[in-house]
Amino acid sequence: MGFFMERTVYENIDHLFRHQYGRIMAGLLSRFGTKNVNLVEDAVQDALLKAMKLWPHQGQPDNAAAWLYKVAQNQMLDSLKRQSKSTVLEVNKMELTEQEYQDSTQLNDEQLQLVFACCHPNISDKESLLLSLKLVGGFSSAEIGRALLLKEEAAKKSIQRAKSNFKEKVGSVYFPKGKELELYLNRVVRVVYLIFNEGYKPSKGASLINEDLCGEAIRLGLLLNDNKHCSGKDVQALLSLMCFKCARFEARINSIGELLTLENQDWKKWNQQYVQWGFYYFNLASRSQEASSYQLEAAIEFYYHSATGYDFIDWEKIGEVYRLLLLQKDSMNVKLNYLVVLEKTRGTDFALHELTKLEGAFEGSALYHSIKAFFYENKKEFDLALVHLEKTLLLTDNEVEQGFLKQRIQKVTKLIA
Amino acid sequence: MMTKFLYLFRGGDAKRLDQSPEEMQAHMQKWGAWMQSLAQSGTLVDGLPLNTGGKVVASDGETVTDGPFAEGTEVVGGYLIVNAKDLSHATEISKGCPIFEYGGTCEIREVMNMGNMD
Repeated sequence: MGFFMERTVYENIDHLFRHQYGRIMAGLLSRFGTKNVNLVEDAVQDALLKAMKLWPHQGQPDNAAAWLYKVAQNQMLDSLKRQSKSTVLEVNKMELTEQEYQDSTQLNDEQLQLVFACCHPNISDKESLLLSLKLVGGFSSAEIGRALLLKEEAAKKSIQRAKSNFKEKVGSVYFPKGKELELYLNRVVRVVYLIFNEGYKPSKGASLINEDLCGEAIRLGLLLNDNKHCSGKDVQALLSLMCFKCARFEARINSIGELLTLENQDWKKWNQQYVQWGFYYFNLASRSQEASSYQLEAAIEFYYHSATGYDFIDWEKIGEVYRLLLLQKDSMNVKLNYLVVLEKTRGTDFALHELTKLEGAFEGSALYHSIKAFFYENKKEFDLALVHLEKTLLLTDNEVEQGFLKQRIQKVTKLIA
Repeated sequence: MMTKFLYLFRGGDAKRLDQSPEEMQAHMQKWGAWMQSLAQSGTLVDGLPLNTGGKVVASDGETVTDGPFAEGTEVVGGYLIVNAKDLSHATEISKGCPIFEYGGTCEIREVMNMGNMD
């Protein structure tokens, strides 16, 4: 994830095709509307194919991005002409000059417009996530499938469905204003966070695609923050949160692919550059008085990263933040994670008692049983810990997490015997 | 004494339709690296990719048809001219070509030469 450090997010040669894909899609869709999404996709794909064939022979053009845009646009106009032979198209108006192409503000805004369109209120969060990855992120169905742990065919079908909604329910691609912008922005920030979380899920082996997903979420966050209408505490808090977590991206998995808890990670392996970005955006976001859930989640990360080691984490402060977070976001995950913090501050018996109160509602939650097992382990009641570890394993699909659980089960089994 | 050989590249396009931008770029970079190595060793003489579609003219120009519309695997997508010692040398060189990555083929033909007609 080196791109972030040098802040060359938009012109990174490592991902030139992928990033240009999103930019060109955005430009062409805002001119031709979402009903033409399939034609636009073909046109962009065609431009990349031409580059792929021609550039090795003739070298990469000076302004590679503008070259790709022009080729894609010509292809698009050709397909439209072929489709409606009698219609005279106003070709000239759509030409983008070299100068305009250099103007990255305009292009970034076009990308944001497309992000807004993907996160249209008529589209579900899940579909917004798929559309953002496919159309803005330039990920293929196969890549999206790998990242979301879906079979390629299933990913393809979901993307097709999302695209047909996009075609029918979205229409034009534009920059919303005022109240509408606020509504969209909430959704966009949520979808960016979803993308990040999908990427952050533990995965097997060299998880390049997961890293790319996290990178894409951060890239979108930066795009939002660079725009004066979109920048704000939520966007900055989200950036902070994502950077803090990214700092642990590699440290949380050991050399044989096992997941490590915060306690067992080598804190020296955390990526300091990301930690610094985390603090930077946290400070920006904290200038506002009222705290959103993103700010509170970033604050939790802030306290982890402010400690010099696991033993120095300020659990009291983190507990306070969780209580505020619970007022806003009464979700299962927040509740359960709060109890882990409570165990640190009030002791295992108290936390276990509180946890058991949630039994009925959370019986089907892997996290519930995992935490319960953890509490029993701390109380050295290993036979009960084993029962809950086995329940957790049954409720977990992620292979890396399964491996992690099997390890814990082995350890606990030995302690019983 | 070096002889010129023609590489005719066919196919490989069908599978590219499902490729992601990232994969296309990686493939392009492989071509770039391969061609650069050919150029640096003095092997590369010339070459260009071809657009799809065209015309086929026959019978003194009386029949002109759109085409070639052969199967995807048979359409010539590009060519290179290289210097090599002989056909087997030219064959060896071709093996580094990224065209094979997506099921394409490379046909190798010796270019005729006035001084090489024995």
